[in-house]
Amino acid sequence: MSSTKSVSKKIALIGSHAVGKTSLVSQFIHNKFPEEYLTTIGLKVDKKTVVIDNFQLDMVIWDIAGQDDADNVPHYYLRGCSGIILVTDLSRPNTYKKLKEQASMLKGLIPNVEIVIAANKKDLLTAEEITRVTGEYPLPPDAVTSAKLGEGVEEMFIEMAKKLLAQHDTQGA
Amino acid sequence: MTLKELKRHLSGPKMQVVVMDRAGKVIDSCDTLFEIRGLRYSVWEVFPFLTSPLNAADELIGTHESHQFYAVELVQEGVSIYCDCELARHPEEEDHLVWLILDQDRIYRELQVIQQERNLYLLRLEQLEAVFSGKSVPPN
Repeated sequence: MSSTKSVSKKIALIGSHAVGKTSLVSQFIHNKFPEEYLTTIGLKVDKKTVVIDNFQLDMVIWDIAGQDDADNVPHYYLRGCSGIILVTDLSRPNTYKKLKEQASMLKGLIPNVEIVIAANKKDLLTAEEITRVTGEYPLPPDAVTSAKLGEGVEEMFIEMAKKLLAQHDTQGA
Repeated sequence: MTLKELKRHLSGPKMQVVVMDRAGKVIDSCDTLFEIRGLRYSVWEVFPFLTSPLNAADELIGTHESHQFYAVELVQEGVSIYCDCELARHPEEEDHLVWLILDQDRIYRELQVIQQERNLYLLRLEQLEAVFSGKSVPPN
């Protein structure tokens, strides 16, 4: 019989306004898509526990109000972050054109942070458009998602969870 | 009614003070906004927001700094309130933290409406710019 180890990790979602950060969290945690767009003020923190390879991971998810520039997020909000999901909107170039600078700034701020780039709102584009648009991304997205349809959402968070557990193993924490 | 009593009467219902240890065990709470006194487990089980600040408890206890978090949406049993939160070392008990919760729900919900209008306006502007620059953008 194997025993389950438990670990808690903080993950923040960062991105411009209306890219779907709150909807992604809502899909992942409650399997629900809020039909009406309601902007996030400040921050909301949720938790979901996943079990991967006998590891129980408490994902403490910080949904931070949309900022066009990640540098505008108060830096102490990111203190203790193990993972950051940079959320972009496939239909709005303004939300992904500075990805490289944002990822670099975040790596400088939190050296060991795992970053996952999410290209959200795939439901607004055709398969051909998605291929073309993701090709324009300064950094390739790790996940192409639709919070509305629930596509790719669970997979994206699980990918982040696996990265965090791999990092946890490497650090021997 | 003295001015102090009047002040307490007006501001009291909007503020909660919680004293806890560095593991998140509630030592005392006035429970004005959220009922957490007598919790048998860590307060971060109820408010996961506290996980991170309490992980930084050593830093808070070791210094005289405080951490402020604005417009935090706190939810207990389906009821959500927008609050400003401050965490600091207890002025007398070295191993304890004080969590000050200020109910700012009315203000932030009004601000949310304004912010929403601003965001929707910016979205329309982005779409118009895309149209004029010849890039087609699917309706958002």
